[in-house]
Amino acid sequence: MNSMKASYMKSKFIISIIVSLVFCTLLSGCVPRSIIDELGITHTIGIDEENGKLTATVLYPNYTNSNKSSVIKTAADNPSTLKSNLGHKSQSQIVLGQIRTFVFGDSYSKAGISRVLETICKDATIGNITFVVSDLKAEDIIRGLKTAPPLYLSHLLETSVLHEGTPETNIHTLVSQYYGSGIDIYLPNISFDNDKQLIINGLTIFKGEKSKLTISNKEAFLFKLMNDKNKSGYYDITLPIKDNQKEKDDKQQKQHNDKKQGDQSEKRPGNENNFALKSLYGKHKITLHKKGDENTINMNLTLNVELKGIPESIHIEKKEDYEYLKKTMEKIIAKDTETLLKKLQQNEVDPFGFGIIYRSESKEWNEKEFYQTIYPKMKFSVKTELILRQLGVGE
Amino acid sequence: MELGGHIMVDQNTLTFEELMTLAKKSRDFSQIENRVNETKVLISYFSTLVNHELMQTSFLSNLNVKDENLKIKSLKDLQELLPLSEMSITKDLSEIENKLYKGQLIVQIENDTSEFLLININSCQTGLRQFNDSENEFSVVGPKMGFVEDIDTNMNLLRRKINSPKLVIEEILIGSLSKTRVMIVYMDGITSEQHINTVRERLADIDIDIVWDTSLLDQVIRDNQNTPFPLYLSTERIDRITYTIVSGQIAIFSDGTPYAISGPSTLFDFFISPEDYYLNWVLGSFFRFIRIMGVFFSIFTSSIYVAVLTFHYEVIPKDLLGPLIESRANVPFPPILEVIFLELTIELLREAGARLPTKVGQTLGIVGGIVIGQAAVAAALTSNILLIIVALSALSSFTTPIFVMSNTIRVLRFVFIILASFLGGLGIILGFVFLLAHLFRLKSFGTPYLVPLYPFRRNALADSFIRSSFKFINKRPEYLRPRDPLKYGVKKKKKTKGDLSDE
Repeated sequence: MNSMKASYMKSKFIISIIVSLVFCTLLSGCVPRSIIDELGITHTIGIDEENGKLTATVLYPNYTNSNKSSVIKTAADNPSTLKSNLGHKSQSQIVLGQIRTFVFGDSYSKAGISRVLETICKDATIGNITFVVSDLKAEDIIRGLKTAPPLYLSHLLETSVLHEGTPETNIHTLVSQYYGSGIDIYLPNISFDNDKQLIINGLTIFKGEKSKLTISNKEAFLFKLMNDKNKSGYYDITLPIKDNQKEKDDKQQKQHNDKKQGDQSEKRPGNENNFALKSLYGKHKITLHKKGDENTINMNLTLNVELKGIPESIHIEKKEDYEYLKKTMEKIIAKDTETLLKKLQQNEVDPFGFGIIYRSESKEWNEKEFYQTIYPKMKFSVKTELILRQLGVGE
Repeated sequence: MELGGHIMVDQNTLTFEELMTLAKKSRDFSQIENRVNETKVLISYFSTLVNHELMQTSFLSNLNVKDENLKIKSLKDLQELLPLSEMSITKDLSEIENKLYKGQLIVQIENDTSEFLLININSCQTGLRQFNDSENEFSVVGPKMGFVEDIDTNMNLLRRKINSPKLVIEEILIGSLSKTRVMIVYMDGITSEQHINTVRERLADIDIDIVWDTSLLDQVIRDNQNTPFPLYLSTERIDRITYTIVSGQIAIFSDGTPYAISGPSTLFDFFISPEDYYLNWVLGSFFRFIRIMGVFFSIFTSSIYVAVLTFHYEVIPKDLLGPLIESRANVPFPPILEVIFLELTIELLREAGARLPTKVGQTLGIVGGIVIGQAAVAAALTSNILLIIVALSALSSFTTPIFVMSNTIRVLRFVFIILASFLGGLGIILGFVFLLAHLFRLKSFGTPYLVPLYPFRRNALADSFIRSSFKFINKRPEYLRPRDPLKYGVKKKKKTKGDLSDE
């Protein structure tokens, strides 16, 4: 009896194994095979709008033969058809799983990026990608990249975000800005310079799904300082000449020095009073101060900086010069930031997400009302504190 | 079962005369009649099994008694006459049969035919090697001695290592034809009584003709017959067996093999190398960790390669994509065939290397490895990257100190590769889940195999993934249920505030 039961259990066990194996094979029928060297893997896609149609320009590197990239361009009425149309034009299936960068052309970003964005969000194969906007046609950008290494654009963005002061953006920030209320989308802007070199050309800020305003690289760095955790980058500062001149009169030796300097500045190219501070790390804090109808945004920034190549007229080892330099730089940064904030306010865009801060501190929230009545009247006060960490080797 | 019982009954009822007639059929059986003064003495033995020199000098020469007054009335008198130590008087016919075939002399005297004197002058050392390096489990640091084929030598070696009255060696005979001496070794007062009984019962239940090796006993007494995992540690190293015995495990030796098994073992025991303990704990831990990582690497890399290249191109880091595609560009096979081809090549090399004599084997390994590998890449049968992956995973499977376990790992790899080719990453995870479920259910002498991970035992973790300092591993593992939980005491160092010169 017992052995009967045991054998019954055993056969049941075997049957369960067979059934699970059958399920495995059934499941395997549903997994599409995509062997890596048989795919048209693309890293960069450009989206444009042409004659009312969506066009996609795809740069796909041919790793199997000599790394030459090819460009395919198709047009369609919707993003899904776009993808299948791309397949019709290439020898292998075009897959989006390895996409790194999306370029939105001028026409398309002005018309609204929602349709493509929503399609991308729903594709599980697409990982963390970056989006950029261009003032040119995306197609031109892609064609310009044809001779470059396959991941050129992706690397370019990565390094400039890490070191050169471009604010960090990716699909996560984009989606949260797109779907979130109280904040606007911002994306890096790329274009070609006069020598046909690809450059990062500041930051494009959207209103809703449409691009509205492009700020310069310098402004973009200020934006990064007040917005990102990573604050590394360079900010160039021109010391006001008037104050400098006053310093000159102080001492004879200084006069002598300045004479020398004055002589040199005639010969040397560039502005003698202009120098760059290298931002190392720091902290920012944005708070909202409400007083009746008046809303003030307080921005506090503490920044550790490294100075190299400060003007020769400044003797950093002297306390007064040191204080003067520090205070001036703090003032300049605060003033520039305020100017940027006013510019954003005038253009009715809110990439900082002041709306989110406001929403968190008030019971009623109406996005439309906020941007129509409250945001344009907002006041800004920026305070910066610089900590000079490294000044270079002295004489 | 019935047949076996029948034979057993037969053997028990064998009379001495029948035994002699059976023995006389063999050419090497001799019987000599001798006279000690008046008494006739009949000596029966197998000439191939006795030590002839000892027989001449200690036995036969002493039978020529000069004192004429001495009368041999019983076997006792004869026993007193001889200067040999291993003698016994018995009436038990099965014992006589046993000892006769082990090379003992059977002596009868004419006055008393009911009793027999057994004298041990067998030549048990003949044909055995003297050399006992542990060749297959080599270690750079520490003793290099291993066991040999002779069980008495082995017990000698063991007793010299564990010099304690607590070391108990029990003997039973297993094998209806081989009558192999099998020793159960444990520490009295330390090893759990329950485990000792389990071992005794399981060994007593064995009905087998010849015990070839302890690995055979391992397979017969194991808790689960269908698992690829070794459930008992099998080793030829003296220090390793000593360590297991002292920790509270039971070791089983059998005559004729240098390998001993010990249990209850856990999965982690198989990744312990004696060197872990001979080196400082920092180094020991690092090397053990590397070894355990090697296992995962060995099992999963080839299958992950197949899964990623067949199904999940999305997860490849962007900078690796170019080299991967380039290396596979001219390979005409899908990744699965490519991997199977290379893995089988490595297995063939290993198998051929093991069969061939040492020197040829080494040369073949190098020639085969380099030439075949290079040629396969040049002929575009496989990709460079895969060659590296497969070679590395083969290499890391050899880091496992216990040979049986490294075989298991190599076999498991194929299962995972095939699963990966069907289902990709899902297949690997599915296989891993099955593997874990299997490991959770495994038991070695009734003790869970995956302890201290499951059931979780925090104290035993100190000597699992890492080898902690001797300060922390002075307790015997709880899962072995030792009767004495402490191996040795740890004195706390007094912290004294000293000046610089105190250093």
